[in-house]
Amino acid sequence: MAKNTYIEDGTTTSESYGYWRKVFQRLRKHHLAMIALVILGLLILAVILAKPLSFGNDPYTYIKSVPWIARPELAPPGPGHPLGLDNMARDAWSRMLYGGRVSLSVGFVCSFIGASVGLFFGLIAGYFGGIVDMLIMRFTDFMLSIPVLPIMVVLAAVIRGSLAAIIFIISVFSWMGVARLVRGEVLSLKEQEFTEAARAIGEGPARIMFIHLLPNTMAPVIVASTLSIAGNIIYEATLSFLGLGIRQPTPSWGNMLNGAQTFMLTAPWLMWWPGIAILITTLAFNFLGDGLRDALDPRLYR
Amino acid sequence: MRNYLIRRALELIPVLFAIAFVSFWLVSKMGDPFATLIINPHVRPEDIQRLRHIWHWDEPLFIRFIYWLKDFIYPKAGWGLSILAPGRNVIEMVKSRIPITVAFSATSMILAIAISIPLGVYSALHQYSIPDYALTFFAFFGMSMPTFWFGIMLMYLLAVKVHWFPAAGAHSAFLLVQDIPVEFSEAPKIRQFIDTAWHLALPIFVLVVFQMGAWLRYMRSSMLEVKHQDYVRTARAKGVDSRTVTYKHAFRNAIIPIITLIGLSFPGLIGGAMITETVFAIDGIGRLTFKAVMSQDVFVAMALITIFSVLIVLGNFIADILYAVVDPRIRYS
Repeated sequence: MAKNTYIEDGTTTSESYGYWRKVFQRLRKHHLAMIALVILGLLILAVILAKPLSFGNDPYTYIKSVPWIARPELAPPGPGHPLGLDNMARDAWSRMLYGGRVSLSVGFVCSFIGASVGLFFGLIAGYFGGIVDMLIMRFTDFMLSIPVLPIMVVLAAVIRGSLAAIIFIISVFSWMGVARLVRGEVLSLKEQEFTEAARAIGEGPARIMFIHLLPNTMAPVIVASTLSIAGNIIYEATLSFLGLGIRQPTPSWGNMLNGAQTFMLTAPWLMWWPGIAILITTLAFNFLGDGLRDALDPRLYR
Repeated sequence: MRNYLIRRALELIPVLFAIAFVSFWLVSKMGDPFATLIINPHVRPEDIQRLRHIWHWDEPLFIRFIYWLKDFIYPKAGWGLSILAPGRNVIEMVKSRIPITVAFSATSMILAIAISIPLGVYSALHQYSIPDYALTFFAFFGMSMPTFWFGIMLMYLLAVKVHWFPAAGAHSAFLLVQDIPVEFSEAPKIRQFIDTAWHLALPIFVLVVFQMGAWLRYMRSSMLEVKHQDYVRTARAKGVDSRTVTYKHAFRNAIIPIITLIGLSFPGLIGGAMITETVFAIDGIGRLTFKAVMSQDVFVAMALITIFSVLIVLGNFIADILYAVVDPRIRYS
């Protein structure tokens, strides 16, 4: 047993090191993906440093007065408040930064949950086949036949409110793609020699699935979850825009746009920046996902 | 083939039943549709009890669902009671709003596909050229753009700043016919059409850009894949002229996956229609869904969600069938 482990560990580590190195080399040639990576790095840095970057403003404080206009509500941009104040006289720039924390974490967390659940279902369905496979795949088909946005809106109206609720609602609908992908991969992987070898040395299904098959399905899962972060950020923004997502006073890029249509005529500057932030973020995740797809799949590499 | 069709069609029924039941359970959780009647001074508590009984709202969830399903399939007394518009028939309410949604979603879908196919082919044939990069960027833009924000921005720039388009609604209330204001429904048909098209231009544009992202990517990658196939190389090698190879050998095969994807694009289209209708205040079924959920209008929300589910399930079914029809390698088992 010890010997086997040694051989197995020795080969996998050295090989995977080379593999990821090659992936990164290929990714570096993908200029748009690299730009996207830099932009995402800066965005994440900005939301982590939200406090020092917000010029001493607090996203929850109602500002009593500003020197350049009579009423602080919907005040246009001015010194100290680069994006002006929102309809409740809160600093829009600091809300952008703190809202980015919420929007980005919803995107990441939902994709992570979706990928984990999808991996789990896909592995089990692909590996065991038969009735288990049929049940899981039927359930996946069922989930894919649900009109997502209407049901999300209903769900959001039923379980109102908290960040956890929104994460749950979006995650429920973000695992099916990964499950299908992983199942397809596992179906072909389980016929290959290395799986047979693992079975021959007496390894159990759980070990085969999670130690041997799972790493080999990671490439498409990474691509799919990177792309799904973009989709999840848009879902969060859409729900919050409709007034069913992240609730006030917690800022998110979506709920900052909630009042944007109402105050379009009086304060048009409020609706520009949260939307541009969402667009840049989703664009960056989509470009990164696309670059990763090319980098991780050498068959497509032309 | 026929057996396969019948079997697949029969498989749809349990899926639809399950979706309808889960939606019914969730929608019922939103709130009691009869509770809001209490604030109406003209409705006595006994009446509410009676209404509850008529619509089987005093039964357990599953029994209530079966009664609702029976009413939905064989509507004897409409599809229930609307809170949004009390006294109005839910069927009529839904029916009157379907045409506008179908009109603008179908138009946007057809436009998006019709524009994306030639552009995607061009992109694939001129891979890594400047137009290819521009189109790729545009495609990503369409996929990444939050539709509601794009809608609001277009409305602000093109309807509020410069008055090229109306800001909201599906048509004007009055039309000028020979300098006399005439009610919309009494204006000539051609004027009604032009007015509606003018009102729907922005929402259609939003949906076209949103859908084009995906279609452009699909068409480009499908064409790229076919371009490198052996039979295309063979055709070129034996001296078939380049146009024929591109348009007969490559294009015809590249278009197959696109056709099958049409059926699978319904969920995105429904979501997109719901958002654009809400932003542009178009009274279609998408906006009605949102309004029904917001006002706990259980019967209306249920009817609409079921209609959407039927559409999506049918779309998946059509995609499956088309896939089997265009690709003989797929076994009907």
